[in-house]
Amino acid sequence: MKGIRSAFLSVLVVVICSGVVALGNGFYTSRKALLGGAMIDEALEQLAGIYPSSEEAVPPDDGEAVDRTALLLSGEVESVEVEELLGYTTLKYEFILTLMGGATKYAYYSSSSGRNGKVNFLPLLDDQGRLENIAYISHMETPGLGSRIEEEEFVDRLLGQQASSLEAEVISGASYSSNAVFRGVREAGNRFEEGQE
Amino acid sequence: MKELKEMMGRSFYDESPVFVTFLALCPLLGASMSFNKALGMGFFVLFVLSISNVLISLFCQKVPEAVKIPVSLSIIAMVVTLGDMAFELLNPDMHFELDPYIPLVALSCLLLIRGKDFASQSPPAAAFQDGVTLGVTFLVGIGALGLVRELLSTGTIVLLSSSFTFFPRELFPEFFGTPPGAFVALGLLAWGFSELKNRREERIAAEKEAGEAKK
Repeated sequence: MKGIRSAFLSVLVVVICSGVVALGNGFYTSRKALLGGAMIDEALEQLAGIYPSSEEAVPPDDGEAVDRTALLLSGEVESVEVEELLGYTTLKYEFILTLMGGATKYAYYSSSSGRNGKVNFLPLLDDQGRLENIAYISHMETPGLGSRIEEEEFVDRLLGQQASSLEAEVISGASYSSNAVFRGVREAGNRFEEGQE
Repeated sequence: MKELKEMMGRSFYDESPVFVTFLALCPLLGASMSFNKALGMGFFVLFVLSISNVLISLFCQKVPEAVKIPVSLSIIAMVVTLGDMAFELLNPDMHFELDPYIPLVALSCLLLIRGKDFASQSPPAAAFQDGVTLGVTFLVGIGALGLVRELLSTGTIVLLSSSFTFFPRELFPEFFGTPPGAFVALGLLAWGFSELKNRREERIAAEKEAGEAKK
């Protein structure tokens, strides 16, 4: 009798715990979708910096958020396609931009682990998989050391290289931060090549 | 107040999971590369330990001895999973950094031992108090380790988004930021801690002697 009671109690606790986790998971999934929307918005803002729109990003009077896709499309970008990337360690979203002249560009929302925290940035590749631009979204790297990844001197060394096989010297004293950028760019290059196959 | 001070002292000097019992080494060494990450992990363990202790105390007092471990494990797994989700929603950047180590907290002996040996035999209030004191002890320990490792490997401390430079980075190699460096830093801190503990014991013994001599 005692054995049956023990078994019943353990099963009951496991069932209660699983139920609570399932409820939490429902809430978590819905909130995460909102976070994903904010990340897409951040990336579109950076892309709008690379491809300036003909309109100005002035928030509407009614307090609604700026429609960044519409702003991007009012410039030299003809269409933008957003895809969520699952199963990648550092990439979250892929943005395929078709320009007015017919050229296609590929941007990736990349999050790599730096020295002090996450380095969020957007490597932009051309239709041959070469790195064309890097737009930094946010990072917490040490000012004067890791934050030098934003310097033109560092970024210029990387531009024009094949993203999947990017090789460059790290910034002296900021190897963690430099490698975070290299990892993100290489993964973007690999994803680009997979997409072309 | 005196009771709380005594309890914190006992928890800090005799039961510190970082410097005395060396429990939860996995999240401790993995997440202490920088002060920010160490604080993130410290607060997460504090949260999980106090909540799981209360739940184990509520459920396990009426449960037979034979099933206390599986029940405790289910509760710890539930609290860690929910805490993991909440952490990701509240601070996605910090969560990304600690991602591989957060689920490992569920397997930490610290939680299971405390839950089974103390919380399952105590009322919820006492279990909560125990979880908080031990969690704070862990937070202080991992915070100190993160501080020492970051300072020795970069010469700079980054707290939230402010940065404080104490000496040029070139003075030390990046050794303390690496996994072997974590063990060396923990060893050095544990040595310092045992010196501190010995002094405290000597002081208490001297106070006792003085008290007896007065009588």
